[in-house]
Amino acid sequence: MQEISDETYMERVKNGQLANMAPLFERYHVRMYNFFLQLTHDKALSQELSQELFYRVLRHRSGYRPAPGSFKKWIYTIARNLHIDYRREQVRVRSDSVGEGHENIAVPPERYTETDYSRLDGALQELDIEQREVLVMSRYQGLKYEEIAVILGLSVNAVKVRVHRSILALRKVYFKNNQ
Amino acid sequence: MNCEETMAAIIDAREKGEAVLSTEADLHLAGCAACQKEAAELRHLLAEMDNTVFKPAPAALGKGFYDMLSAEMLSADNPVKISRRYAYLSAAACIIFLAGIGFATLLINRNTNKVAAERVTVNNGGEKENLLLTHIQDPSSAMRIQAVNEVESLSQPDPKLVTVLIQVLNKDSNSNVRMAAVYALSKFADDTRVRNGLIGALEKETEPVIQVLLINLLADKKEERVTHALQTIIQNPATRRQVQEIAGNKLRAL
Repeated sequence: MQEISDETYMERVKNGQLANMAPLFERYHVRMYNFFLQLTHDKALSQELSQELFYRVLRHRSGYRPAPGSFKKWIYTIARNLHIDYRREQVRVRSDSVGEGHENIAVPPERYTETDYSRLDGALQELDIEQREVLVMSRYQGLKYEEIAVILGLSVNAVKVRVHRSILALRKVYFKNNQ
Repeated sequence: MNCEETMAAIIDAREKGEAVLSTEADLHLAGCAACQKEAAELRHLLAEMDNTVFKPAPAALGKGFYDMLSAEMLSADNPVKISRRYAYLSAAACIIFLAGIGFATLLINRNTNKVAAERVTVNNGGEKENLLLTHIQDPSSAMRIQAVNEVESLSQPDPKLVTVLIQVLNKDSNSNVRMAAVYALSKFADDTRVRNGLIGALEKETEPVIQVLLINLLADKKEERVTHALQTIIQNPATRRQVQEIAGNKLRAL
């Protein structure tokens, strides 16, 4: 039996056949939940962001542009934007709480709620967000450099350089923490 | 090759699944003690990253999604536009959630492959009928849906199959199997027995999505005998408001 592509499902969703969201959810919800979990290390927040992600996919279905391999890049782009929105909101809330003139304050570390919090997780959280997201996409989510390049709006070579630098940065943090 | 290029070569090799480094990288490593330590750490780190597995998503995520999807489908009033085949697939997806996402995913794939494999050997309506009748009793909801899905290829409504599908529509405990049965029967909705079965099912059905599906299907067929069922739905306080509104609209249009 030939597997129906993500793009076919999404095109049908776009055309009003909303039940086709269900197989897309089943294909993607675990990986998207883990995408958020690896970025935030917060289970409750990751669940909330995942829920919001599929809601956005459904609500913004008319904006989907079908093309081979397009759905994965599209949903990761939405997921990334969702995470960016969350971080901006965190900055705004923090800025509001400390008064004017603190717009550039660093994003506070997210809550760590995992009981099985690994040293690798800890090292990953110490990287800056650009390094973390590129590592999550390439090493944990298994995205190709070409796909990440589209999601981030960078060249493939720039993505490769960023991934390599991020791995080397992670190595330093990881083994520093383990000493 | 310098230290930085050697580290890049190690990462490249890992990404390409190559067990050995280039000669240049090996030569550099052999003569650079600092790089040997870094290379060992890097390989350890890359291996640990590659061994990371996804954590299971909370069940509440699935429930929230399907609640949201149901609400969206009801508000869009469009379930009747869904093709039967894709309704099966989405229904199967619902089952995956309900039965336990990880385990059921494996189960569904296995069952799908099993039925698909059997389908390859089926050449005529009689064998297809037997296949359906066998699998429609299966304890696995995924298997039952897949069996119902097989009816799609029939050009004529086989009496025995129609009887079985109507029984499924009325009695199966799983709403996704019932939804698949609606789509299977919708192909033969002009058949008297099928039409009667669909009307009877609407009078009993309590699942909002299936109610809307049946309402739209029968209203599209200008089936006036559905009036009583629609009035019952409208007057039943337990019926979801969106379903009552759809029933009211269809009733006025009949």
